[in-house]
Amino acid sequence: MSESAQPGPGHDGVSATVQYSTLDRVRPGHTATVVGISGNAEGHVAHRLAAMGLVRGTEVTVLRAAPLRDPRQYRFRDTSICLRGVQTSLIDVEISGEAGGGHD
Amino acid sequence: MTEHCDHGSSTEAACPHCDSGPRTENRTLAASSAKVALVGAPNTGKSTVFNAVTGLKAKTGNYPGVTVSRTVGIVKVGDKQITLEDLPGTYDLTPVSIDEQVVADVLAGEIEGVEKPDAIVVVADAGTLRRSFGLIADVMSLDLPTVLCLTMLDELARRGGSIDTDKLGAALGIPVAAIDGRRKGSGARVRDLLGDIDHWSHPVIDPPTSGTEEWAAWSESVLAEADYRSPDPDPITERIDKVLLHPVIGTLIFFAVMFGFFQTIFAVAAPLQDYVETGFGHLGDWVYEVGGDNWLTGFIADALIGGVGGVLVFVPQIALLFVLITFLEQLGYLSRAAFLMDRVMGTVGLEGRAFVAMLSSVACAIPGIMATRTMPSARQRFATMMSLPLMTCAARMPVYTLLIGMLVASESKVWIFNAQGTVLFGLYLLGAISTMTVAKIISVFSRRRGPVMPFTMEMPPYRVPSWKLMLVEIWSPVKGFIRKAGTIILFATVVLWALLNLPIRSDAALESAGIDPTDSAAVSTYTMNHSIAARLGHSVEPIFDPLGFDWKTNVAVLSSLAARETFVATLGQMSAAEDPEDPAARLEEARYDDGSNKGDKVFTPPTIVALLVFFVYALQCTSTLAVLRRETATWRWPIIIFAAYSLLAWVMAYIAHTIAVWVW
Repeated sequence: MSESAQPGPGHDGVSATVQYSTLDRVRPGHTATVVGISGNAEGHVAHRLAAMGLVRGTEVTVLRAAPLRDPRQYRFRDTSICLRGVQTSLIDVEISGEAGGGHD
Repeated sequence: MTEHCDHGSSTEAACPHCDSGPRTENRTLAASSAKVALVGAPNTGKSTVFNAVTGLKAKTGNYPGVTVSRTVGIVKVGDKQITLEDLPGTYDLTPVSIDEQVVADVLAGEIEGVEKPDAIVVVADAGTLRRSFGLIADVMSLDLPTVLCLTMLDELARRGGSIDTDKLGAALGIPVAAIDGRRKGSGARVRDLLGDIDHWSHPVIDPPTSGTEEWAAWSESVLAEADYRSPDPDPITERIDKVLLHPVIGTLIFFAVMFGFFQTIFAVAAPLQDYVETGFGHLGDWVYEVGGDNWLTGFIADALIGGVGGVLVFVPQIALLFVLITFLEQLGYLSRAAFLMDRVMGTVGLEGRAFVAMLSSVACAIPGIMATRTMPSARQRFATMMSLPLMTCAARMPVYTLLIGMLVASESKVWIFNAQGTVLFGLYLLGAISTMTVAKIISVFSRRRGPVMPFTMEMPPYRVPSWKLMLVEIWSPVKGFIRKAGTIILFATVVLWALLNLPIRSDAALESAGIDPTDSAAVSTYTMNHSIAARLGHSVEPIFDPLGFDWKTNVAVLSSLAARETFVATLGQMSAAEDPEDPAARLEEARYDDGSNKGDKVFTPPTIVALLVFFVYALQCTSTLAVLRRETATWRWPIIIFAAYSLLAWVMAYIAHTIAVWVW
């Protein structure tokens, strides 16, 4: 698992705070913006995720988790897709505002 | 945009105007025919488009060398003949699964015997258009004439979205057509376009490579130019998902759905089966009435009608099975089930989609093995494919129904549930648990280590299933089952009839054996007991005696090596020979006619339980073995798996028999 959320640029600013995290740590019901795919991802996995539309700037909403917490259902680019934590931990995101998707 | 040129019907080699820039390939279509490929992501209504354009006149088959099913339709537009090829669903052209590999290969013209297409129709769901931009960009970079076909615009409008298809076409640089499968004649626009491939517009520049930020920016700008407004998430789907995907309620509903599934198959199909059975019974009686009592009527009534009819009785049940599976799939529930089951499948090293393959195998292992083609990991696919024959397929149904009928009375209940249905559910459960256990064992020992691909599965909105599409989906397996009854099972039945009735004895020989030649039941019983089949059945007695089978059961088990259903046909034939009036009662009263337990009933609970368990594990299906051979490209695996499952079947049946003797 990567480092927990770090304070983003604007942390103490007037505007909303920005936290950096990975998609698997965003709580259901919250939305995050993709920053990029982790360099730890194998090439073909990174390409597959990017080709689905998980590129910088894409907003992803976490809808819910399956009964045993994995996989989880996400909504992005108008589509509902389920992904396992193994993959979502490779997706770097930023969470803006107080909506913050802490970690569980 | 291309200038419009009038080529007439001649086959001119080139036209300076049509070669709009360096990116267009230098070829002009023969006026009389063209080959067009239909591509699209799963759940986008690709089949709807295909059916609307071709009018349900599809030919199905397989791609040479691989078993990805191939659907081709012929459309006549004016004097042109267009061959429309419906390719498997794919999200982009970077193949990760075998299905996607086929799409990429066909479009590149790399499959021998399959011509490279002259043009491509991309199908995209207007509601999830953003998701389709990877495929659209990939296809457009192939430099073939391309048309975008938008489906489900009504759903887009209903959910508050909108799009201007003309502007979308202008922004992309290719023609865009809208189609509504539920309205008659909506395929006309696509058909017109197909007749005029030479005049399709081409994009001025290639779109950026999919998966890059430039590509994302390009898709956003195209959508903006087309005045695209995304639909709101479907409120009905959201509300249903809140319940069906709820950690507790959703799981309970899932089990209820599965249980109801099996209760329905048994309870609803039973009366329909009775009708078919009665019909074949009358037909057999009629043959005896018309033809008199001789060997020919015996052959027609007992072997053909009794044997094949005994298998065709299961057509209602199998049709119902496919109705339910197709219904759940079109409704959108199957991907929810895969979502709920993914973690459980994960514990045996598989993924949610393996569950869908397992559920398809409840109908037949072959579509289940086909369903594994969407699985990206070679190891998971291999493990799933090899374990699927343990799922309870429809061919086991006749055997189980017959045996359960002798084990439990039809009116008895377990709490409020039909007892027969509950036993059947238990057998399905045993099959499923065994499948997963074997899959785990195979995946642990498998040396196949392909790249581990991400598990990504789309959850389509819930949709009301289309009856027309369902009928198309159901007809093909039912037809396959009837064809099997008419070929493999018919052949096995005829061979068996010969083995059971040869050698033929003369009246003198019968008399010397103490049989009255005018007593037809006595004659046929004597003939059968001294037939070649009887010798075969007796010869394997050392193997099957510990399981409680008598030589007749052995003959039936041996005959089921061709196809499981033959077991029922064979037992039917043998009982009919002894008592043509009521073969079912005769079977239940069957007694050992030799050995230490001579005179005891054969079908006691321990024998029946052993038989049931034997059929849970044994791989008696030539079609499945043939498909496994094709999929693994070697006979090695089918042979290993056949031997392993035969051994497993015997061991498990022996254990079950021992426990049952102890309990009863």
